[in-house]
Amino acid sequence: MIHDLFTIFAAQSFWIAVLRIGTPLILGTLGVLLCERCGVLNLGIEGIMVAGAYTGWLAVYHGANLWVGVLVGAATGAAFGLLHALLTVGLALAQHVVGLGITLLATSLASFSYRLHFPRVTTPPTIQPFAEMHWLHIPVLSAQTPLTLLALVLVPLVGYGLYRTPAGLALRMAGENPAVVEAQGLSVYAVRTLALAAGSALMGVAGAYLTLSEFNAFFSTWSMDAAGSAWRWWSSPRGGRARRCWGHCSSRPLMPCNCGCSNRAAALCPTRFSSCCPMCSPSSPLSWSPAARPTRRR
Amino acid sequence: MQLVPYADSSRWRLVLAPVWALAATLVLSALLIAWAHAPVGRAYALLLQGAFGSRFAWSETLTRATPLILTGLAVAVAFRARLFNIGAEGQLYAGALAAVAVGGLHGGTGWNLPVVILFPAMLAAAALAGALLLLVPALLKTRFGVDEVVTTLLLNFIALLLVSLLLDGPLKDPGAMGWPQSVALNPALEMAPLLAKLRVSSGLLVAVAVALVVYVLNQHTVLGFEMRAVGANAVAARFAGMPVGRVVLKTALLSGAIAGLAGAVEVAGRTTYVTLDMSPGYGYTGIVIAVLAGLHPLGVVAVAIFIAGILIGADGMSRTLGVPTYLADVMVAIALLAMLTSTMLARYRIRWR
Repeated sequence: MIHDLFTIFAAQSFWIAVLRIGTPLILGTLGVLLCERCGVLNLGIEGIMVAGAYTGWLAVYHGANLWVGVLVGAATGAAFGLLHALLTVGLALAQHVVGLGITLLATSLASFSYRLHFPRVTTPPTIQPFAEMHWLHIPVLSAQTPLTLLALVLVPLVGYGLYRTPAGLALRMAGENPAVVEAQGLSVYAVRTLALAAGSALMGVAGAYLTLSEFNAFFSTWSMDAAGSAWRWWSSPRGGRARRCWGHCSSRPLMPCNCGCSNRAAALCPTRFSSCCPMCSPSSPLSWSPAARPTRRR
Repeated sequence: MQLVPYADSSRWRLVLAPVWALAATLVLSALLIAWAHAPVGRAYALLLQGAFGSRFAWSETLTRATPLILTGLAVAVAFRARLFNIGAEGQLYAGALAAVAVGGLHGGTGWNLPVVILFPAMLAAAALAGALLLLVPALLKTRFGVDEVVTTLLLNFIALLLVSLLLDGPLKDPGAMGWPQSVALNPALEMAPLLAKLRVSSGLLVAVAVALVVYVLNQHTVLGFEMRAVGANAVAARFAGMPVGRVVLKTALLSGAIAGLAGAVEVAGRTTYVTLDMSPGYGYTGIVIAVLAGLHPLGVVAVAIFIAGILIGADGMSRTLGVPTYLADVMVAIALLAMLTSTMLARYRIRWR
């Protein structure tokens, strides 16, 4: 047991996965940090990430450059941040209720627009995502995409900005003692509005990372839409194998696909439930145990 | 810009606030419908018809409204005392688990109790589970000043993972062919449908009864007065000699119990077992409903039916016109933000400097 843990921690693939899953968290948390430090609780992050993921992906799907997609995601985030600021800073409404409202609004708007653009897709349309930085020649980092590098660079940058610049001081002051900001001749409204826009832009980038780097499609709603067709297939004789591995596969749609297909998540694999999952793969035994778990490629 | 309270406290401005909010929602949603190239008037007509146009539509709307009334009440009770319970979702699942544990394990016969006792026991267990789940953040708040927004929100995910754990463990239904679902409730414990051949169950009556109890509690009891006082101004309430911490704890128990009851009513009235996707965010929608109702218990009932109507009506409208069903969620979100804005603007006016 302990030995297994050591083996896992020693594996390079483990740290690659940690950094990959950590990137959206780093970006999103930096965004929340800016909002929280200026005195506004931004519970809209969940929805802002979804909206950024969607618009960034949509821009790239319509032929934009990947980095333009990231910028579009950031702009979407900033727009929702400004809405949040208008309601919580300008109108002084309850921050957590507005935050939940923004989450609901952004998520449902993204899903609405997605269904409008792609009314009848069963497999989500894909894009060519960011390539890994093989040119970097640093063990774990070279298996990541440039957005991970961006996230890692942003951490000291945000730290420097917050603690070593007048703007950062004003931002923290707005959170800890707004009266002092006024006394300095600055506007608390302006400071908080800008901080919310900047923070939400980072959340938008965090979302864009999900669709432009971690995966290659937008499918936050896909699993729901597919439920109906999945059920019909489920009841068919061929579904028997999947029925047994449902608990394994369906609860982990974000599991990287290791069946050799080009999709990065098991849920997007065209041979869904058949070869993505070690348990339902025709060639493997129908029992799934940690020991039988195939190691990640890359 | 600056917010200045109106000098005169006129009543009609507050009464008109929901009307403005509703108008704003309809106009903004009309833009989305037009974006989907659908006729706006027809879309709204179909939405209304799908929600309230027939016996079947009413049944579906009320079925959806039942858990929403209860989670809306849970949130309204807590918000009234300024206990920001974002965790109704988790408490609902805790209640559902408790209901199945009491009324489903060994077919509910493991306790060797007659149904007359088992049914109340099931409801009580669900209420207790929800109450206990909210007691933890409430204690953290009153003892250590921990922000309950964050703790209750994060407890939702813990509760959901606990459900996932139990659905793969002790509560797993061996006859479900691998579906992650719990054992089914003893059929004798299921709530009967209110109308023949329709889905709406007597759980609706439970929900409405709870709303009435909360209303009476709020308006005509000492505890209700204390809860409102603590919510209006905790410092003044303490100055007046009220045990603020204890009132917050009682509020938490009540709010959590109502949310837990929502889980039991869902299980006994609709699903008969627990799954991971049992609630499409009832707890979060409850917050929307409570805010839209102005935290009034009877208003919660009306708003819950209205919101359920939008959600149900959008399905039928979507099938006919091809407007994505997510329109309903957008409408609910816009309604929430518009209502918050319009009530604020009914009390304060904006002065541009």
